[in-house]
Amino acid sequence: MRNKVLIVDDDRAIAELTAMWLNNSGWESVIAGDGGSGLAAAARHRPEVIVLDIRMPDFDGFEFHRRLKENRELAAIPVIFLTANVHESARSQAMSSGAAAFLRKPYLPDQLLQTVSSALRQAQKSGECP
Amino acid sequence: MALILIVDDRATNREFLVTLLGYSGHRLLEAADGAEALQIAHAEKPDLIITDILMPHMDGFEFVGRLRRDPVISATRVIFYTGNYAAHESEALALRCGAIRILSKPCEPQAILSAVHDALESGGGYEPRPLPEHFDRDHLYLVTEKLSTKVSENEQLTELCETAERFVDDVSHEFRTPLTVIQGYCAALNDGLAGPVNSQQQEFLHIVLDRTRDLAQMVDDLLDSSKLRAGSLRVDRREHDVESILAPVRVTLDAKAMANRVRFHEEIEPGVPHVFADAEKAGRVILNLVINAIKFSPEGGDVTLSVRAGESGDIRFSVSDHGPGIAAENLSLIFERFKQVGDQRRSSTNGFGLGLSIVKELVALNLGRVDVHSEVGKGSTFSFTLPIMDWESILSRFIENNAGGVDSDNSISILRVVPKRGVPDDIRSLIVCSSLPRDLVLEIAADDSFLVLGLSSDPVQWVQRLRQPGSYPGQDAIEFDLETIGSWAYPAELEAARAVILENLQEAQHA
Repeated sequence: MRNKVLIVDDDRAIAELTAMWLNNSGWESVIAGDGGSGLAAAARHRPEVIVLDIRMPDFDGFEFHRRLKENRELAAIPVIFLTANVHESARSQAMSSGAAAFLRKPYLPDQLLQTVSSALRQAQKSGECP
Repeated sequence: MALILIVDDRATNREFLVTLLGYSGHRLLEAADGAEALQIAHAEKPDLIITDILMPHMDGFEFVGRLRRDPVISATRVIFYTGNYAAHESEALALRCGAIRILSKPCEPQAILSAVHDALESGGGYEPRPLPEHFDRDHLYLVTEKLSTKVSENEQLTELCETAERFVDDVSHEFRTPLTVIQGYCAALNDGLAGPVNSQQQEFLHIVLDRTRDLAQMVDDLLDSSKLRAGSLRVDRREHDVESILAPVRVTLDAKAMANRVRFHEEIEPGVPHVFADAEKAGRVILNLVINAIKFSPEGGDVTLSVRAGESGDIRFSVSDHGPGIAAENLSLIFERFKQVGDQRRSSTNGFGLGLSIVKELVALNLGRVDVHSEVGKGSTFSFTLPIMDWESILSRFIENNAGGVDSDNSISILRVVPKRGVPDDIRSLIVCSSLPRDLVLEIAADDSFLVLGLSSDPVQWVQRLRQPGSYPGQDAIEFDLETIGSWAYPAELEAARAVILENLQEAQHA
C-alpha cells in the first residue's frame, strides 16, 4: 500500500506540484487548502507525513502544528514545513516546536523527496522502539 | 568700526559673517566653541558677540550665561544667529540672558548688517544685571525638550529601518512563491511528468530553469545583503564535515555548469578535518563563487573547486576559472556592494553585483578570510577559509576577525568561572573572556574539556545567561563564581592575552 502524505498549502499550484512529485515517487497525496480543512484531513486520512505551509488564510502553519500536537492521535505524525518565509526566526520556531524538517521555497524535487522519506523513516524508527 | 566676535561650530558659517562684516569695516574674531569664545572675549573684550545656539559641548545659552557671570565682559552685547531657533521657549530664554536680537539662519545680508548696526548704536550698550533666577533651570528644560525630540526622532528612524527590513522580507516571500511555481512546473515538464519532451523542448526548458535559478539567487542575494546591512543575519556555527556543506549546493552547481557548457570539477583532499561554520552560509559562499566562475568561463572551460587543509588551523576552499581574469587595479573594487568591474561585464545577466560583497561578509561571519588571485587572460582563483573544529584556532580567528574590537573599550578580560557546589566533578573550570557569540561558547562548552570561552564586554551578564536552565548540556542550571584572571588592552596586548588564555586552557584540560 502507498504511504499517505497530506499537503497543507493555500497556493493550489504549489500544492499540486508538490503532490505531483510525491505521487510520482510512490506516495499517495491528499491536499488541503487551509489550516482548518488540513486538520480535518489529518484526522480522516491519518497520513504518514504532513507537508505544511506557514502563511494560510485561516490560521498559520505554527498554529496548525500546535493544534496537531495537542491531538494525541495525530501528535506523532512528522511535519515538514515548506515555506517561502525567510525569517530566520521561522526556522527556529518550527524546529523548536518539534518539526521534522524545514524546507524553503523554491525547493528542488530531490530535496523534497529525500526530506519526506527521511521523515517517514525517522517516525517509523521511533515508532518501533518508543 | 567695532570689534566683533563670531561664535559658531561651523567654519563656513563663521566665514560668511567674517566676510560680510569685514566689508563694513569691522574687525572680526572667531571662535569654534563656547570655551574658546569665553577666553577670547575675556582677553579681547569685543563690542559685540554674534553666536550660534546649537553647538557641541556648550550651547549658546550656556555660553552667554557664563559670559554674564564674568564681570570683565558681562556687559558685552550679544546677537543670537541660529538655524535651530524656532520655539517660543528659546526666544524667551535668549531675551532673558540679555540678547539684543535673534536672527534666524538663513538671513538676508542686509538684515544682518542692520541688526549689527542697531546693536552697536544702541546707546551705552548692555546694562549688566544678574541672570534671572531660573535661567539655568529653564535652560536645562529647553535642552531636555530638545533631547527628547531627538530621541523620538531616533525611535522613528529605528522603526523605519525595521519596516524597510520587513518589507524586503515580504518582497522576498512574494517573489519566492511564483518562483517555486515556475521552477517546479518547468522541472516537472523537463522530467517528463506531463508526457514525453522532445530535445528542442528540453533545451528550452533548461534555459528557463537556468534563468529562474539566477532569479532565485538574486532574491537570496538581495535579502542577505539587506540583512547584512541591518546586522540581523543570525549565524548558527557548528561542527560540520566538508561534505555536509557541499551536498546541498552540488545539484545547483552541476545544473549551472551544464547550462553554460562548462566542466565543473571538485578536488577534495581526503581526510580534511571538520570545520566550525554556519553550513548554510558557507554553502551560499561556494554557490556565489562557483556560479561567478561559471559565468565568466568560456564555453567548454573548466571550473575547479578545491578543498584542502590550509596553513594554520584553516580549511581553504578555492574556486578557479580560466576566464578573462581581473586587472590588478580592479581587484580592490570587486568586493564592494553593487560594483561590477567594467570589462568583466560580459553580458546583461550578471545580476546586481552584490555577490562578492555578500561573499566577503558571509565569510567574515564564519570567521574566515577571502583571497583572490587573478591574471588577465589566464583566469581567477577566489578562495576563502573556514576554521577547523578546534577551539584554539577558533579563538584566534575570532580575535583576528574582530580586530578593532567588538567592545567599545577594546579590551579583553579573562575571567575564570568556578562552578559552585553541587556541580558534577567533571565540570571543572570555565573561562570567559570578553563577546564570543553564545553559539560558539556553547559549542566549546559541549566539548570534552568543559571549558567556556567567551569574549564579552559584560562577562557577568554573560555568565547569567549560562546560568539559565538548559544552557549547559544535561544540566538544569549551574551556579558559578567569577574570578578575574586579567585584563588586556586590545589589540596591543593581544599576544599576552592569548598566551594566558592558552595556558589556562591547557591547565584545565590536564586537571
